[in-house]
Amino acid sequence: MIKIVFPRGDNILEHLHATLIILKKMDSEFKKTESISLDFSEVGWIIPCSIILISNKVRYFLERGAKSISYKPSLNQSVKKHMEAIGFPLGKKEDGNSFVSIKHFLHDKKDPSQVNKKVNDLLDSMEEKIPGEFGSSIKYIMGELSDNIDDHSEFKSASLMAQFFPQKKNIDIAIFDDGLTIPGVFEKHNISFKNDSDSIQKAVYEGITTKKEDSRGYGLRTCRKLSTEGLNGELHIISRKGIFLLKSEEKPQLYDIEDTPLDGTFLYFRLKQPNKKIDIYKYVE
Amino acid sequence: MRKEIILADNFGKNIFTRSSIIYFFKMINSLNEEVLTLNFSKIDFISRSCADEYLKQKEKTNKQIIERNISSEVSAMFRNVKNQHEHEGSKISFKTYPSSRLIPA
Repeated sequence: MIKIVFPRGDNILEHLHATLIILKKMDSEFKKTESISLDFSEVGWIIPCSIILISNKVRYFLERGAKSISYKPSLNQSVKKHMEAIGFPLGKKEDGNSFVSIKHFLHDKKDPSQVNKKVNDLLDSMEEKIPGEFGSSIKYIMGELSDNIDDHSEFKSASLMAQFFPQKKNIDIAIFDDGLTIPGVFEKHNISFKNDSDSIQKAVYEGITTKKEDSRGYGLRTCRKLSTEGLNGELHIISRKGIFLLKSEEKPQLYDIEDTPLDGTFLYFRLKQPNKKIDIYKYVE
Repeated sequence: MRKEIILADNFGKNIFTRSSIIYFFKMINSLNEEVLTLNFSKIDFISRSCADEYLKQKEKTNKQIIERNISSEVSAMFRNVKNQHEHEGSKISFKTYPSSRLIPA
């Protein structure tokens, strides 16, 4: 049984690091036993970034015919209730007052409108939970990210989750896809980069596009400006071995991990509720 | 021949992905009608990528496209993308039929 341990605080990077270690342990256990058993009993605080990555991994093992999957819930009643409410481990259709529960979907290549429909469903669920001060910013970010996944990543499955924290006035959005990854896409299109974190930085700052057309490549760049400058937030991206972290008014932090790479791309936004309704067109290029 | 299409029936309230725009134009290009009115009522939002793709597809199509009931939000995104194209000296030009300008709701 894998003992799940997370840091006590709310530091996203620390939680992501702990989660990558857990994912590696899950891979290792599955290789040995074709089963997964998770012990959350001592977890006192869990944030959406960890939930969605572990949840997607469980889904992945089920898809590969896992013999058994079990988990011991947290002894902390509020964590236990929250994990049930958001549909851990496999997601659910119903959403709560302040969150959109875990949503996994498999890529249907026959339906070119699939991602558009899924993100519309998610936004419909989120609409009443998001304070009006966020304006169209959440739609902009979700739209550009989902289009990137749809357009470039060749994903097989994707996972989404969002949660509004009314007391902290934050909204956390988590998106994962198991596609080519940002460095993988760069390699495929012969775009040079130093290491995986550098490829993410290039995608976020330079808006590099893989298509030979004008007027592309603005998606991540504008999402970065909107989230950190417009919404005073944080942006975390993990793609293969690269980690990119950007907080409002700070320099980006880049890390490359050797032992626990992610098989896909994970984006996590923590956005602060503005004092007045944001005009996204100040940030859209 | 003229036909009106309610975009919200095809996309939902928001238009997010280029592939859905490309698919939509494939569909309308196969219609017999030469003049198509695209009704944007109930469309709350269009992403930058989709506004870009829409304008490119509109440029390519042989159909005459007339837009109706475009909200100020959607109109702002189209304006933004057009401005960007012009700023970049884009090769894309926009056909301007008297009846195809973006009409606010």
